[in-house]
Amino acid sequence: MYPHERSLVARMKDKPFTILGVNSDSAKRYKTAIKENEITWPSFWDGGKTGGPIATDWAVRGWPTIYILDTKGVIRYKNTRGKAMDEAVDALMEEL
Amino acid sequence: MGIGSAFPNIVENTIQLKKVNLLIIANSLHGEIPSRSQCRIQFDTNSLIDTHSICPYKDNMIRKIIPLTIAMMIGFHPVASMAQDTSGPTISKIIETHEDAVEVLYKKMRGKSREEQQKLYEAEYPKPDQAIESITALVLTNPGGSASLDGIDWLLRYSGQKGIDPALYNVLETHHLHSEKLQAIVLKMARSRTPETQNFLTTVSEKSKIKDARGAAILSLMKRIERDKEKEDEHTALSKTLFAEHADLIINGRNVTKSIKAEEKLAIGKVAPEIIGKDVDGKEMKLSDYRGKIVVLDFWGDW
Repeated sequence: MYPHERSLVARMKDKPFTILGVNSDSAKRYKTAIKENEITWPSFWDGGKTGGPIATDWAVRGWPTIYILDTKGVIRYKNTRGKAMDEAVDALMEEL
Repeated sequence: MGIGSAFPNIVENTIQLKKVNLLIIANSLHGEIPSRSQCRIQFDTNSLIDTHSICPYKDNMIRKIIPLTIAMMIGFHPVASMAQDTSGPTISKIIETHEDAVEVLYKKMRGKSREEQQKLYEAEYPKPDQAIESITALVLTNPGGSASLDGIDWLLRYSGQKGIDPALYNVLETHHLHSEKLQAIVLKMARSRTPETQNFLTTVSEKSKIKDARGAAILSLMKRIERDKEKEDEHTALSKTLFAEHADLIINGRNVTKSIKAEEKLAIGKVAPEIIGKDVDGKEMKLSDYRGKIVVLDFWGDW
């Protein structure tokens, strides 16, 4: 997970792209995780539990849950991972 | 073998006994049976309804003999058991034995590597086939008993897409259409694809006196077709009824109508709902701040 995300972020450097997390860890765990895994992208912090307000609004029942949004904020892909995530991001990039 | 070692014997012997009993009945009571072997084969496949139609004389005998033989095997006093509903305790015993065996295996799997877990699971997972067969027979023997609903509930969990014995739908419709326990049962039917399931869910949605069961039946009918493009109209009609008549339906602590509406807002092609929140240091953030960028929104946790 983390290595793939790091490489995607590196590949999209200088392009209109971001990973935006919604994190459900305790504050302490989250802070350790970003250090240990070199997580450079921002995250909302969802109150330290899986039933936090953002996850509830988004009806998230499993983690990780992924949505890919285009530049207008429209939901374009759901739960696309690994290679398929790269392809999805590339496809959206080509639309620009 | 350690897992459920007592249980397969009981079931196996019971099945053997059922065959023997049938032969005894066939030999002693009736000179004119359609075909003894036919009856026996039918009985082996455990379709009591079919057996009944081919060998009508067995009806009463089966009702008495199966609970009696099973009761004897697991140590009930036969006479006392005959006076009461013996299928109830027997059904719960079979379920308990199976679940205990599964639990033993899961305990064994804990802490092992994924590969070892897979191997253990494949080698030792207690096959539910015999329990399914026995419980189905017991439910059909005493369809009106309260344990028959528990039995069907368990059968639904283990039968997957191929579904339960179709005769069990008659049991549900005849004896349990207005039971408080029906909601849990109809929710488990969303996975089964048989026409009997479809008919039964429709019946519940229209005729059950239990409102929560009617709502759950509509929900299961919707789930069965949610990925079927050709049935979009049907799905829309069902969701209209659900929203209009069951706005307060709660399943597993969630308000169903609210969840469905939330999920519709999160469909592909919809503008993502705004998120206003804070990062871990308390700094305010908004999803809309990232307009103009492609965003991979990742609900994550480091566990």
